[in-house]
Amino acid sequence: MPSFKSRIIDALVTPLEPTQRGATEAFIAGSLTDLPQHLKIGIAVDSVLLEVLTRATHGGRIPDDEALRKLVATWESNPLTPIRQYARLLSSLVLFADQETRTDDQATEAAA
Amino acid sequence: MTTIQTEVLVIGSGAGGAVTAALCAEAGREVTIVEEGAWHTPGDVESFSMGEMMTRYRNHGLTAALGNPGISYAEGRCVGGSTEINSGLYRRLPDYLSTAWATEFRIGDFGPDVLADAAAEVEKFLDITQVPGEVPPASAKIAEGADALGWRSTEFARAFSYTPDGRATKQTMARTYIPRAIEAGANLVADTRIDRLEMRDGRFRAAVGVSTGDGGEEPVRIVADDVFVCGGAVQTPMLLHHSGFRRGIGSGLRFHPTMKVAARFDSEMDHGEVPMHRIMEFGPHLTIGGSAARRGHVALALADTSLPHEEALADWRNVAVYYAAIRGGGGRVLGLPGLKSPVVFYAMNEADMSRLARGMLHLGSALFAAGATELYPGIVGGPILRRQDDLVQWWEAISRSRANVMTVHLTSTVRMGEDPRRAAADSFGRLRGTENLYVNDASLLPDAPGVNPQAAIMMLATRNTHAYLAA
Repeated sequence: MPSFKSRIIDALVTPLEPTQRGATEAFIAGSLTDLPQHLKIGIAVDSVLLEVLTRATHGGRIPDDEALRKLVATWESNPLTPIRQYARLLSSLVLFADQETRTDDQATEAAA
Repeated sequence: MTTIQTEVLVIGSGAGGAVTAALCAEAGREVTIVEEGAWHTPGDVESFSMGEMMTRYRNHGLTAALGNPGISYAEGRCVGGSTEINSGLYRRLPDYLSTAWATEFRIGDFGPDVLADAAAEVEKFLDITQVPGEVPPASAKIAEGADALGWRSTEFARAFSYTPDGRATKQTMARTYIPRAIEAGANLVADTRIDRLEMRDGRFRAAVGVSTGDGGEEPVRIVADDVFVCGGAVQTPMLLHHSGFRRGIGSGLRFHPTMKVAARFDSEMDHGEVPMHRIMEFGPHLTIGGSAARRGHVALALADTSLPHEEALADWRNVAVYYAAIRGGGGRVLGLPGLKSPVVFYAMNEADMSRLARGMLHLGSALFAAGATELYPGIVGGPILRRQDDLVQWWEAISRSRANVMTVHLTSTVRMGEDPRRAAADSFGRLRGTENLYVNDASLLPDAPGVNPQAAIMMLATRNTHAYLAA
């Protein structure tokens, strides 16, 4: 079963051709694996707490991609720093990788 | 275990280590350079790209100082260190700062004349010049904004060489001082992390670590007569902590807390390089300049508000990214037993936060004066602004919980000087209480210089290495 963090990343990555999606996922996975140990521990704790919170508010399950994207968007402006930083880390990684792997035309089309 | 014997061991190959190694090797010393990161052929990935982050940044660029606010920072981890990933902008340490530091920290032989000689030596080798031809549009906007407001701006020189047809090549350490050191006989050992320095009776004996080159981990021991630790202002104090040194080490961390603004214009901006103009009207305590602005960076800067930005992203060619950076705050680096990564803390007081907010207002003013039509600040919840008169809203909006703060210039964790209460190293980088252990990197700078510190680091490394060789 994919981790909660992976489910969020899957939900945030926009549709891409397989090779581009592979490059995006490799960058994100590599970045999260390469985090400094103390930050990695913080992210792991955040993941557990947010999964529990999410399940508690969604009838014991993790919601679909659309609902997850909305949740992450609300977390990005949460007053609690760990929640905000967790959401911003994941969404920034996806956003940067997404833009880097797209051609200019694909990026313009996606933004429009 | 691999064992290496050498005369001079240089740990780290960035702006400090590469200079140290080249000068020592050219003076006939037997030199070994150890670098934790890998060798990458310069130019094999685009500057500021995802490929560069994956291969040349420590932790893929995802490092942060703990505090309120938390502050993200970036370091290089490859042969050439952070010179491989920075903008290549070059600015000498101002005379008034070196004079002030010499007095405040009792640094011997630190006058402007001495430093100017060292700087001239660096500049002659690196071809320090300004960009030939027309100023790129994103950089020109900084000058336009400053001119319109009657503020002082300047075009920074860069460590770039140019072909007759105008093609620019950044003069990183992997292209300049490292080849020079190897040419003079230095041995470069990449993919090797030093974990601890062995000392006996105040003398360095050997460095112990692991080689990670082939995916495995092979223990390494390097015995040397003298050692220069040049891992940068975060890695150097961590290594010293792990080697049993504590007093005055890691506690003086300084950097430039920085906030960004994505600015949208009616015309196309350039995105390949960092703008070279800076507004110096408020320097050295506040600097305004431009940042990397590939499409990925533009997207991140636009998304900083967490507000809808799709329309601006579709128009990304007309968007450039700018920043306001202050000198302020202070922190510490801790190398803790069992942790391979250092833990970094940084604190900003209310005055620092106010200065940063004031910097953002000045930056916004300059960008509107230069013709910006829309500004996206690094503030969660914005507001996104379209009129100069609304800038005051940022003053209220910038708080610890909403400001996205970052930095790249870390300094001052092993300060130099003759005051043992304030400086862990002497005026030329030798660690107090040791006979043959030297620091020669950004850690020695007594304070953040207010601009990209590469020039100051290289100048200092040149001065200190000449002093070492003359002793």
